[in-house]
Order: sequence, then structure tokens, then C-alpha cells
Amino acid sequence: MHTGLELYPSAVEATTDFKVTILPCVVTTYTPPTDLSFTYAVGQGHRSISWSFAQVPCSYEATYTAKLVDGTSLPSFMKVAAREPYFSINTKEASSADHYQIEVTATLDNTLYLSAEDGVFNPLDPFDPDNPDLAQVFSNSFTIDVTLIEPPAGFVVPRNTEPYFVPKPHDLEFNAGEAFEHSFGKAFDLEIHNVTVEVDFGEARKFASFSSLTNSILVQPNATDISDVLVYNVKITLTDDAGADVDGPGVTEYKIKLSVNDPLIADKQLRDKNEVYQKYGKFVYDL
Amino acid sequence: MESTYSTHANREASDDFTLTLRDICWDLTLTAPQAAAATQTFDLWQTEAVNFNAMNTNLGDYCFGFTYELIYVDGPFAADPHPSGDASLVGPDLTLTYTQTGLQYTGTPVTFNWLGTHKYLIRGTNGNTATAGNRRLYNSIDSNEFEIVIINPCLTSTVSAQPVSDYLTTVLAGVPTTWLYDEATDSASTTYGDGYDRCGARKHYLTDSNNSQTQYPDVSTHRRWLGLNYLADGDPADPVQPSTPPVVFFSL
Repeated sequence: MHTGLELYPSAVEATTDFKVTILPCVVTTYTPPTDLSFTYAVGQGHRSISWSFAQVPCSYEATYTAKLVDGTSLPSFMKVAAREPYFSINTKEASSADHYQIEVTATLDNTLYLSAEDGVFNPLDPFDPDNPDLAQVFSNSFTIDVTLIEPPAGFVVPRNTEPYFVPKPHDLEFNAGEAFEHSFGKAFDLEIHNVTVEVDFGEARKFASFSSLTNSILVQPNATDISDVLVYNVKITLTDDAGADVDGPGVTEYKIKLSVNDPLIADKQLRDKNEVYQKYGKFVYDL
Repeated sequence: MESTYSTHANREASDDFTLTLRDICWDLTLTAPQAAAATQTFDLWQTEAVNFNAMNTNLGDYCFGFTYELIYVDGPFAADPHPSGDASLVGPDLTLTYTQTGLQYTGTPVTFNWLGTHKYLIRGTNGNTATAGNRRLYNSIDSNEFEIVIINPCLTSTVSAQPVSDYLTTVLAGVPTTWLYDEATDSASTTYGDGYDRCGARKHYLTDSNNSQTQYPDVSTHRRWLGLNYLADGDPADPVQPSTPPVVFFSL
């Protein structure tokens, strides 16, 4: 802090050092959704649900895990996306028909800021792992009840089903001039066929590319500029290699929007929402 | 003149002469008073002490003492007519600012229009008007001219700020957080006032310390959360200004 005389620039200023320490956002409540339940008929294809935890006052991202309430792992036809609130199911095995209770646990990324555990609770440290009340604002769980029923009489179970992503691809955005990468993850296929992923970028082809090794959309730094700020339609096509003996290849199409944002506007909007700060750990500013 | 013994026609003769009667106090040979220093420099608001050597006559204090008067000669007030209406004088009525005690004038200019170089002289009069009675034919003599330079101490004042506490805050902690910061004195105001009241408003600004272990991934934009809301006058006791307290604010 510098303090001088407004009318007399020649006066000798006082300079006082001080530190501003900014801790990450402290979550006060982290509330799971109410328990979900739905019925799935075997053979009806890929179905999914999503949910939302409520956290106040922050907006950390989270990692999701799931298991059956008896502690055993999920059957292979059920999947939970690790970084998105997304549960999917896809089976055509009649033997799968049953009632499943799935416990989904979300763990917030604020665990990244936990202090070293020393067995002594420091009430001034909001990230002291020795705080007995801390766990509830870092992690929480809810239950999904899934009832799998056999297909109705006469229902012909398809010999081949469409491949899919978990989670379902959603709209993407990045700032002009910046590098960007987003992976859709592994493509699943119930029949374990090989799956080919093709992406039609449309007008975005001039700056975007697709890596089939990682199923990722890639944009190199400076591949875009302010003139590219626009919303682009992108079509993602998954095709398995099923032969004619099983009614031919299964094909799934996802249509998403890829937005190239004005970095100034995007930055302001992001900061106005105070989201960016939560991506940083403890900072100390010497002023 | 006539001889009392002679009977000659030339026994008497005459020779004319002129007898002039004069006031001794008017015609004594005067020695002028003398300023002790040709130039003296003072701060505005500082009490000035201007010493001078006494005037004298060839008969010393024959006329019951001496009277002195401080005369404005040149400077920032040179164009101002003298309040007395005496066309031979310029400048302000110096008796309102300076007081003579013995062989010393003291005064304390307090307004900024006194800043600058002023030329004065001291007019010494042979006689003491307080005891003069009917004796009024006193002569005067002027001292050499001397300079009084009045400077603004705020120009070289040194600001002293109170220690600032380190600050711990949290993103989205229910901000903005404000912190009162209005304790900065300056040396000129401390010497001539209450520590705050001489040199006007304070200015505050923030910089990064160069020797820090600071992480600055995005300093320029992070700074939107930290700032100063206005220029404070630095006087916590000032009831008029500022109308709102000066603060450093955190907005996270």
C-alpha cells in the first residue's frame, strides 16, 4: 500500500507491505438430489439419467462413483461417468431383470485444497481435514433405484444395438485463440463390436480436428481468432462393425454445438460468476 | 559694536550674521538599523523570527529611544495598495502578521498566498513616540533590504502510514469486505498541525512487492477484486471530508 499526498507528488510516500491470502471457496452445504427411481425394460437400448447436487456458495466440479448398496460393483451394463452426473444403462439380457439399488457418491474437487492432516483441528483453517464437520461439505451420496423388467411378450430383442458414449456428448465451448481439447471417452457397444467414430465439423473444420485414439476434439492454440467467434454445428457418428448377419451396423448420431467465444466477454462472464477462482488453490499476494 | 572710549566717527561698526535654531533630535546623525540576515527561509505555518541590529545616533539615545517599523518592499504582495492609503507603501498591513519585541520581529504566515520571496526593510526613527510628548521632529533611516523566503513544507513532507494487517479471506466469503484505511499522517502536518490537516488529500494505490513469494498466474485480472474506492483526506477526525470512509475493498 502506497500512501502519498494527492496535491504534492514530490512528497515522500509511505509504503506499507501487507499480504492478502485468498483461500478457495468454502462449501457450506452440499446437498444431494432426492433419490431417483426408474424402470428399464430389457432390450430397450441405451438409457440414461442425470442429476444435480446443490452446493452453496461454490460451484466446484466433482468426481462421481457408484456401487450397489450392498457394496458390490455395478453390473457391466450400468455405467456412471466419472466427471459428470450421468448414469447409463443398456442391456438386452433377460437374465438381468432385477431390482437394483445404486449408491452414487459425489466428491467435490475442493478436496484438492485439504491441508496436511496432523490430528489437531484448526478452526481457522476451512480446509483442515481434522475438522469433524468437514466431510459433509466435500462428499455426499444418494440412491438410484432401477427396476429391470423383462421385455414385453412378443418383443424382439434386437440382434445388434447402437454404440454410445457415456456420458452423452453435450455442447462445448472455448475462447478464441485458446487451445481446446475434449474427450468423449470410450465408445461402448453392447455387442462389443469395434466402433468407428467420425466427426463432421462443418464450418469448424478449419480449426478443429478429431483424434480417434482418444476420441477427442482438438483445437490448437491460435488456430482461431476473434473472426471465428460463432456457434458451429458438429455431428458425431458412432458406427459399429456388425455384419449383415445381425442386421447390419448399429449407428448413433450425436449433434452438438461447438461455440467459439469472444475471450473478453467470456472471461468477464466467467469471473462475474466467480467460477474461475475456485480453480485455484491458496494464493498469497504481497502488496 | 561701539567703543565707549573713542569719540571718532568710526567709533562703532556692525557685522551681520545668521543664527539658525534647530531640533537636535531631527538633525542627529543616524546609523541605520541592520537586518541580522540578508535572506531567511521559513516554512509556511512556521513562526518566523527576524532579528535586527538597533539604529543609533551620534548622541546615542539622546532622544529617548528609537522606533522601528517593518516595511514591505517587493514580493507577491507588491501590487497590493497599502491598507493605510499611504501611496508610498505597498503590501499588507504587516502589523497584523508580525509583532516586534525588542530587536526582533516574529510572525506566522498561514495562507498559501504568502508562498514566495518577500523583500522588506526596517525603518528606524530617532525617538520614542510613546514618550515623545511634544517632540515630533524625529528623523528616520531605513535599513538595508532583506529577503524572507516562505516555502511550502508539503512539497517535501514525508507520509507515515499505519501498519496494515495481513488479510485472510475466502472466495465467495460474503464480500465485499472493507477495511478502514485513514491513518496516514505527514510530517508537515505533524509539525504545523494535527498530523493530517495541512497538505490535503491523500492518495493510495497498490503495487505488488517485488521480493514476494507470490504466485501471479493472472495478476491483472485478479486485481478486479482488490481496489481502493477513493482518495482519502487521511484525517479520521475530519467531520467534513471524506463523506465516506476510505477503504481497501475485497470483492471476491
